[in-house]
Formats: sequence, structure tokens, C-alpha cells
Amino acid sequence: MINNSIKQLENNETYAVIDTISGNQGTYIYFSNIKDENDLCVRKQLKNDQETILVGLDNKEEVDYALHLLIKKNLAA
Amino acid sequence: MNNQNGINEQNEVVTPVEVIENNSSSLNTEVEAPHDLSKIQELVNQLESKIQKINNGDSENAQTNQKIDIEKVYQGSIQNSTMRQVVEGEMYVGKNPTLAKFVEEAKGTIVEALKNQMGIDKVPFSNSSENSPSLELITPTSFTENKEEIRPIGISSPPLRPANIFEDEEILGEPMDQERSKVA
Repeated sequence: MINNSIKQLENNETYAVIDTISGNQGTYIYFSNIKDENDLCVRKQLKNDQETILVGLDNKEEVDYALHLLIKKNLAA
Repeated sequence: MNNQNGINEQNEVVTPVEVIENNSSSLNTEVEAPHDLSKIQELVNQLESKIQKINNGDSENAQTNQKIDIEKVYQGSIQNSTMRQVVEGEMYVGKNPTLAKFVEEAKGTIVEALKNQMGIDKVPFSNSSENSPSLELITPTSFTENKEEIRPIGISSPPLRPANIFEDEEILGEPMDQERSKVA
């Protein structure tokens, strides 16, 4: 997925992709609810030959890791 | 009669929404995914209202006050049985300046809030290289501390070798002496 695309997630809310960062366990996609930017969530984008899927992260540590990737990338920018 | 004044040939006023719809073919060139333009327009209207509030300084989500509910982020991000979606039919609206502005605004406020709440030094595990996050953890400190001693072997210093290998001369002394005599 690319920045500025919007996607309806499992809760039927519409989210905008605010950033995409490659990490050690896949590519992290950061979503912000377009009605409430406090509503932030992260997904992993996994690709295989047939399709691209979005899955949740494994645990809190991975969420922390993904959030810090977001902080570090955008502070460096 | 005069299209430049927003009136078409049938003397009907052309609204901005209609203009967008008439140009939908150009939007669709970005991706093959289907677009629901009426939904996008609705979203854009909501975002314009929100951005206007932010610009006026009367939003409760102003950057300085923004806080992210980290527990909610955990709940919304950690894998559960419903959290598996095939990426298809996404709506790419990157050319829409309003949404692009929303994304930039949201990212800025989110990053600032996360930095304030989580700090920037408490990275859960090393990320010197995003593809090998544990690389720093397995690097022997003795190697990095003594790297000034590494020189081309046989020129000005004996080759580096782990100190404990030659401690047991009874085991290693004889074969090594044979090797040295062959070289001599």
C-alpha cells in the first residue's frame, strides 16, 4: 500500500495510510482513522506470489518497535 | 454556453462534485482499484472541516495537546482472528490535496505525540539495520575494542588469535611445530 491511500479495516472504519516502513519482520503500514487521528493502528503487509495481505502484529513489543520506527524515520526526515 | 463560468451547454450549473466525476477517468489511471467518488467526496468534506478547525486553533486535537492511547493502539494492532485482509480495492487518493494535507497533519501530530509519550531512545531492540535488528547484540565487544591491533598478518605483528587456543601445548604444540618446520 502507498501513502495517501485509504482502506476500510475490519472494524468498518476508514483509515488513511500515513506511512509505510520496512522492518525486520515485514513492511509496516501505519493507519490513521480519517475521523479521528488519535485512532492509530499498525498492520504488517505480507506478500506472496498470489496476493498481498495485511495482518496484525505479533505482540506489544512488535507494536512498540513499529511505533519507534515511525518516530525515528520522521524525526530524521 | 460558457464553460469557463461553470455553465455547460445546456445552461446547467456545473457543481464541483460533477467536475470531479467528469474527470474520474484521469483519477482511475493511478490504480486499477475501483473508486467510490461520492464516498471520497464525503470524506474530503469531513477532512476539510477538521482541518479548518485545526487551522483556527479550536480543535481539541491540536498538536501540542494530542495524546495517543497506546493501549488502544495495541488492541487495534495485535493480531487476532479477524485481522487478516487481502489488499485489494483500496482507494488511492494521493492526488487529492485535502486528503494529502490530512495525512501530513495526522502524521505530524501522531509522531510528535508518540515521541513525547514513548521517547526516542527506548527502542525495544536494536535497529541499526532494519533487516538485522539483533546485529549489535551479537558483536563481540572485545573485537571492537581491539580493532586498532588488527594488521596484515606477517608484516609487523603476529596474527591475532584467541588467547586460550595455545594454552594447552600438550595438545596443540606438536602439530603446530610440524607446520612451522614445513614452512621454514
